[in-house]
Amino acid sequence: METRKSLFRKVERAIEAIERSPDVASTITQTASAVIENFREDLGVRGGRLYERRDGGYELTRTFGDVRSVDLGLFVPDAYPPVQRVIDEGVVVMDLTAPGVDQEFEKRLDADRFAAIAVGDDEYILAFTVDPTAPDDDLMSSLGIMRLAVDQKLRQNRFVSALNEARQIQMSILPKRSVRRGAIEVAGYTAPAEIVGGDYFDFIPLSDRILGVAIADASGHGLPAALQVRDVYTGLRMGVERDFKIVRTVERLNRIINQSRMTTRFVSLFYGEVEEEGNFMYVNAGHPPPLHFHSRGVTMLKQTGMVLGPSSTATYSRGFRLLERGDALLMYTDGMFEAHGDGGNEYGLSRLTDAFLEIRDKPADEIARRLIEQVQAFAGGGEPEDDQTVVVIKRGEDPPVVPVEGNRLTGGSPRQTG
Amino acid sequence: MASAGVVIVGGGVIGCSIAYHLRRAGFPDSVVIVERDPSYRRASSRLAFGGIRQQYATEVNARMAQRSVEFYRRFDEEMAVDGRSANGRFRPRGYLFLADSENAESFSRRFEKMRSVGVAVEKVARDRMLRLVPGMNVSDIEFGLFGPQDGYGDPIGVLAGFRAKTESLGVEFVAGDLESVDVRADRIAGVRAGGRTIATERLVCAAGAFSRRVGELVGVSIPVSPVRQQLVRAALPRPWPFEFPVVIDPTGVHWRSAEGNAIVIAKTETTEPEGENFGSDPDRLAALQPVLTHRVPGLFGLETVSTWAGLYEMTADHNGLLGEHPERPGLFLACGFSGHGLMMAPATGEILASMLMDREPFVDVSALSVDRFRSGRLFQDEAMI
Repeated sequence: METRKSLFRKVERAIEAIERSPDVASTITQTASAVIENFREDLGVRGGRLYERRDGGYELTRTFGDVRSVDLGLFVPDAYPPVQRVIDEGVVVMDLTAPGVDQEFEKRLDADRFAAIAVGDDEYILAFTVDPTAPDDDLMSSLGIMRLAVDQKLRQNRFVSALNEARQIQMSILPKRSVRRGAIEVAGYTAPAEIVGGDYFDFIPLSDRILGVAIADASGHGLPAALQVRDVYTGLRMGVERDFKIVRTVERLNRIINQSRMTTRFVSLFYGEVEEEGNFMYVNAGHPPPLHFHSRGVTMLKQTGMVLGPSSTATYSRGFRLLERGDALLMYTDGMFEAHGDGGNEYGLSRLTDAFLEIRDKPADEIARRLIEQVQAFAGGGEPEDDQTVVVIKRGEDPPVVPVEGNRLTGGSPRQTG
Repeated sequence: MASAGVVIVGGGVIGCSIAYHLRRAGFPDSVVIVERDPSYRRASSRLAFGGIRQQYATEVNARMAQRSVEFYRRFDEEMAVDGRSANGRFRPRGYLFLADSENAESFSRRFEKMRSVGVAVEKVARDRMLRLVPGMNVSDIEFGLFGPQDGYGDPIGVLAGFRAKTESLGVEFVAGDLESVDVRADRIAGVRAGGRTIATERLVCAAGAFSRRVGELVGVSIPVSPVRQQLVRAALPRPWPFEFPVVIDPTGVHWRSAEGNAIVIAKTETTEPEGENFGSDPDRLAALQPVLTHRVPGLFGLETVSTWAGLYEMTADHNGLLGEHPERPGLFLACGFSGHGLMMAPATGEILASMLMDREPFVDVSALSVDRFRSGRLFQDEAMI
């Protein structure tokens, strides 16, 4: 009993080592070393060999521990019965008497008795030379557990690297820095809830004077949402760069999303084009209304059509705002106001506008970054519940409402009475 | 070192009104106004609702309000500069408080008190209410209290008019914060503001919602707290055939007409926490809409034009603080009007000018002394909302 307990403690220790490994190569290396180190005494494991899948069989690529020196590159065909067995059963313990074993071949490896596991969707076989007296069931169970741990770790590695790739793709489509068109300054910032998110924003240069600005939120998170976002990115860029009809572009985009295979998903999109003189034309496809901060307060840029995806025949109209000097537009995704703080209070648009007004004189990129920090601080840090994205458009300086010289208000006409 | 006869902290409507009245009354020395925010972006004056009424239930408030309403009637001419009139645009459309079965009794009491102190106010029945606000649902309303001389103005125009007129009379504006106050032998001796040092024996706190900070610099308590008030400007669903009076629904929702076929709506929230909070809910109308459409069904379909927030300068009894601070000779208070600063500004300016020139004010304002908080004798006016 005592032996078994200590054996399983060793298995645990070996698994911990595997879980700490950062990539596939080191996972395999860690596994081999951990098995040899931990099981040398109890199971008489002396050394190991790593085989990697090649066309038609497995190639010996590494050895570990105390093994007879042998040329790497040794090739074992798929047809070799012990290979077939380890592929079929996952774990095997064999000696020279087992059926199909090539005695001469195994003796050359000094493997009178060996245990082997297949891992990583049979990409790798790890074979260990073991003591002839080590009990079969201990070997089988220890190595069986090891095998599961390795496979899980490898799957995780693969998944993370796929997500990392998706994240890289997604980060590569996000604007890296703020953009200027005359007195217009645009900046954005995003904090994905998972390693990849369904939020995105884009600045599309259309001319020296006109800049396209988009913000979108695909339902759900993770890879599918990121892929959907890529469709929007590509479709929108292609559309608006080809012609200037923003309504038609958005309607076409809606049909593309509608016809994509992921029909259960939908995307909210706000797209606007801002001119140096402050003219701002937009389409709001089901996106949370951006906020226009002006000298008389704040105004929402309401939806001018439904979210992209659910209906292939959805129609959209345009909206228009004039950004006066000192005005700002704040675009955001729902993660910016739905964050919950202590006691379950929602951050809410009122806090968002307050946070904006506190720092409205800062540069656009600083505003964007600090707004996200504020939401995250409210939510108590940690992983955000949802992607959080903001885009800020600012127009020039805010002149004093009452000029220091002269005697007339410039910032508010009597029509905008408070 | 520069010196001034009076330094006023706060260049909003109260501060400007004091300076204006000092100049008009022939105050012999220089007047300096310290204004931290020349854009007035956060000034309560600029962000206010704009209601101007005389319906108060105590003599001092009623007389101040009456004096102010009179002033606003002639504001645009009186504030004219170089022959160009101001744009305060006072609209004497009246103020209509609606009494339902719950508050009918207290409204009746208030009505009697208001009449006894000479306020122009009428108790109006349903048919009269319907003539004042055609299309209003009065089924759950017992009666109304209507002030026919009351109304509303344009806060931005009022502020601009006061400021321009004050400047034209040679009042100097210093842009910047009040940095420190020089107190010698418990008396005001000077200030440092906007990077300048100014010797003065008279300092006026007209800093509105920020008055508590002035008190900290002077070393006395000025018990005024900032409390947010949110406002909504909404476009009417169709061309509206008449201008509303200020209508105050029993729920506290109140509104008035605004130019551009719109209304401005507010509701004082009793649960609003203290704080210099300027955030407004851009979708605030959604919360107010049910009350509005219940009261005037024709308001269905209002569309938000914009929302904003300004600060009330609240005191514990919702009445202003007026007069020289008992613990700090030379410090005069003109703040804490708790949401009524714009409508009280003209009378406040006149009263402070009298005090600063050692004259008797037109009304006894001792009840509004800050002393009342120390002595625990709060000042109650039943018509405070």
